[in-house]
Amino acid sequence: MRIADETRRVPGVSSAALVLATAANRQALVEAGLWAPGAEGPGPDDLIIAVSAESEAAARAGLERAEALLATRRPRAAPAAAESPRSLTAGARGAGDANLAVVSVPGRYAVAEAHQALSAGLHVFVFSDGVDVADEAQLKRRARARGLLLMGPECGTSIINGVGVGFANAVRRGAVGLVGASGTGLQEVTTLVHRLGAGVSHAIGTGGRDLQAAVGGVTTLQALELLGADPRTRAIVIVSKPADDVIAGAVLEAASDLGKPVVACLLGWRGKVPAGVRAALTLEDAALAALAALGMEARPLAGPKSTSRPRGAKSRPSSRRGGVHGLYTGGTLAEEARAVVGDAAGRFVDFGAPQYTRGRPHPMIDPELRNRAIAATGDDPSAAVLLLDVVLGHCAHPDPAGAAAPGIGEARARARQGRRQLHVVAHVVGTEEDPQRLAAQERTLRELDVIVCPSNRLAAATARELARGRDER
Amino acid sequence: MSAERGLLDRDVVAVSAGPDLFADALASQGARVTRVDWHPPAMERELAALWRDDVDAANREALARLLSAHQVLIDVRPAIEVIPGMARDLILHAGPPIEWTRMSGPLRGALVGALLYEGLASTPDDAARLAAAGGVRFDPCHHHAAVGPMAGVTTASMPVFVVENRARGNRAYSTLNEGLGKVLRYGAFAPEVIERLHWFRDILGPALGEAIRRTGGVDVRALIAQALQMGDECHNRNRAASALLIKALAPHLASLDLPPAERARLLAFAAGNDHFFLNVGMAACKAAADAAHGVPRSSLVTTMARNGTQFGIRVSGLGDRWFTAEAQTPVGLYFAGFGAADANPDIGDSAITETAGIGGFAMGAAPAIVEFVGGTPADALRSTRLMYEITLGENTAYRLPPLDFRGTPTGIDVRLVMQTGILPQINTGIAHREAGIGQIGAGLVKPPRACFESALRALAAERHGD
Repeated sequence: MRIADETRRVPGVSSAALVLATAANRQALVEAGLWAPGAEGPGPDDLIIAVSAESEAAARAGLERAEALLATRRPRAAPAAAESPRSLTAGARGAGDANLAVVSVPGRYAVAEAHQALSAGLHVFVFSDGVDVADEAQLKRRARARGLLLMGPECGTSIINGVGVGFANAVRRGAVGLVGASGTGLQEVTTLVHRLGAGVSHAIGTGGRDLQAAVGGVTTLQALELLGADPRTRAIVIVSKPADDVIAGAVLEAASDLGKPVVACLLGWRGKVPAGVRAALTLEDAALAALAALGMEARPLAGPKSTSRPRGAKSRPSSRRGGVHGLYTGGTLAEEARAVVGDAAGRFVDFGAPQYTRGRPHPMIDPELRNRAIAATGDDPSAAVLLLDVVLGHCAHPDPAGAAAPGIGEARARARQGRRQLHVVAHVVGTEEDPQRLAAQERTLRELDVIVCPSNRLAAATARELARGRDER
Repeated sequence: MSAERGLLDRDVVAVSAGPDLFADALASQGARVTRVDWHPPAMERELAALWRDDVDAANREALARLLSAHQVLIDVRPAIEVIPGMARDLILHAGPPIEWTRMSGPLRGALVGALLYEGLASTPDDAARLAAAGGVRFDPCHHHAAVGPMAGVTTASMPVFVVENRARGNRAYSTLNEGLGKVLRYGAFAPEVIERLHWFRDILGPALGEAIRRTGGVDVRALIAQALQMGDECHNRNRAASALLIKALAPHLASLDLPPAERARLLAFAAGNDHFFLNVGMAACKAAADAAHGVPRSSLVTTMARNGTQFGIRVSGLGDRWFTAEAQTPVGLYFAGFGAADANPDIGDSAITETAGIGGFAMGAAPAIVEFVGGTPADALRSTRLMYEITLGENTAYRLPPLDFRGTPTGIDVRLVMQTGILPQINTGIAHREAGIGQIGAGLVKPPRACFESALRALAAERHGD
């Protein structure tokens, strides 16, 4: 039938048939006007090629085409490439033993995908943002009822059994378990734990709103219970952005019952901390306290070498009053830095906030937007110190320090034009095991005369001192 | 709170939907990751409301009923004796409900033939007038536990196969297959068509009934399972299944108290009809689908049927509501002398086979007819593999040798259809648009997307109604 179909496409051919000459088929040809009734000829084992055409030439062309097609062997089909599943449901079924869905589709579709993943029995990591908080609460309650963990939405980081999910750093495996409503907060603490000589069992991201009243800390509480029961975890760190007081209280209460030392770094938390929980005021402090809880002695983080501190720079009359401008890719890092800088804080921006990421990649991947802001700092007389974070790890830009270099160079050039001096202070969040290599990234920055500090707190404190020092002069 | 298992105590095995960046990062750390070829679905709010535990539980129940069906051919009886609600003035037809004025040529032709056959009209014109004037009632086969290929026309005195689902005790019915050429199901009503139907009623039907009763019942589920391993997909190709059925019945037919000439005629008729089994298979599929119907909340499709004008689906959790849209014209290959311009829009209840996990869904089993799906056995396998994307499970009885005996994709989920945008693949015969000419080809057709859109909307509305 396929050959007949192609023969029919020969110009001038109106009808064609290729059939075995059985009685039934011959009758069909008669009815189609392709065979004379009663005509003698082929037996049932013979193939009839019948063509009806507007001219003898066209008929011959048709017959030739049919015979040519009969003689042609089909090209062998290419071996079927393994086709990708078209839904999380099919993906989970195909993988058989999948245990985690990673959802990073545009926000408006994320709720359906996350629910679908729960239906497939998967734990879920939702990177997508723009999810309604009521949908988040519903997703998390459903996950909990099914014995599943829903990390996110807007979850930047997790490390599960040594595997980083989302923006995560390559850190040593060890005994510190973390749960955090802050992606970069978790990245800072896990990398500091690594740099201080300890390691991480798991780091569970919850999404930034988990400790808000509308969500109720569902994922945080589940994660604490998981880490409490995890034999590898011997100390637990909780990291959060400002939280609802009641929820934070409940989380701290639950944490104090785990029977393991707990360090809580709830930025902005002013409430009491129950016995058995150690409060940490900064991310660096949280990392140091975690080591202490393990009975390990921490190598102190060294501040920038004093020689790199510019001294005696003459104050220019055009910058009578200078402040610290913080241009960040990590929200929690920005908040922490601003708190440390205090009065000296000028403009602080988190380029990872939704208004900057809508319709474009995260600044940890695409440096373009922040670089423009960095360059513009050179024109701003109120900027005496530029404070930056540079975040390494999986999913991040392959060379974030190098990517920031043009912006820093441009800022310096413009400041010089305005006869101002601009200090640049940065902290690199990362480890030597990260794909970008911590030492190489720090070297790139130092070569640009950037003052590089080993923690976000130290970077902020250094920037503050630089700004004050100038004011005092 | 239940203990969350399988996360911290296991290696990460991930499924990723979204940019490759995330999957790449997981893979670079040595984690196993499956990438979803993700496309934004149309109706994401409705989907978000339907990926829920109650719907999942309902679907598990409906799927279990579909898969556990054990169908046995137990009898052939006049429709009036066995089909629920059958009446002398009632004519059943394929597809969703439709009134005379909107019926296509083949369906009208078949109804005219049916009225002539039943003696309710004496000429085709009388029959058409009677039908147009409402002198008889029309109703879908599907409303009466019955199915029929193409026009699907079933009347009171027609003998019908009786298939019983031993798992739940429900029964389903279908007429006897007339073979190819001029036949009622394609809208033909010439005297030879009516004569054959009378012979069905008087000789073939009672003989088959007696033979089947003497077998003690033919296990149709086992027969389909065998036929799938012999090159049938049991919709467009029924050659193996028909042979198996005749083989099962022949000893009993041979021993019937009939004149030798009649016995020879009925054996010759059965042996000469490569679709002899089709209607039995359809009734078996209907028995399974009916068992799965009526589970509140379930998004499992239990009916796909066409009346030549409209395509309609029904869904387990949505009762007897039909979700319809204009039927499409199949894409296929045509017999000598015919082409696409002659084709009627899609018609028949035979998509019950795909609904139950065979037919187009088992295309990979039938390399002999792969030209209908584009040409190569690889295409046929791809076609079957694609159907796993929209089904809730894999058949436990029907297995596909070329896929390492994986069960056929079974149990269409409205959610998965709308999630992936993949529509069910239906194998079908093609009817001439004019009554009485018959089958002119065979090929493929898909249901209109709109049927699934409106069903999804209705499912979401039901959940919000609580």
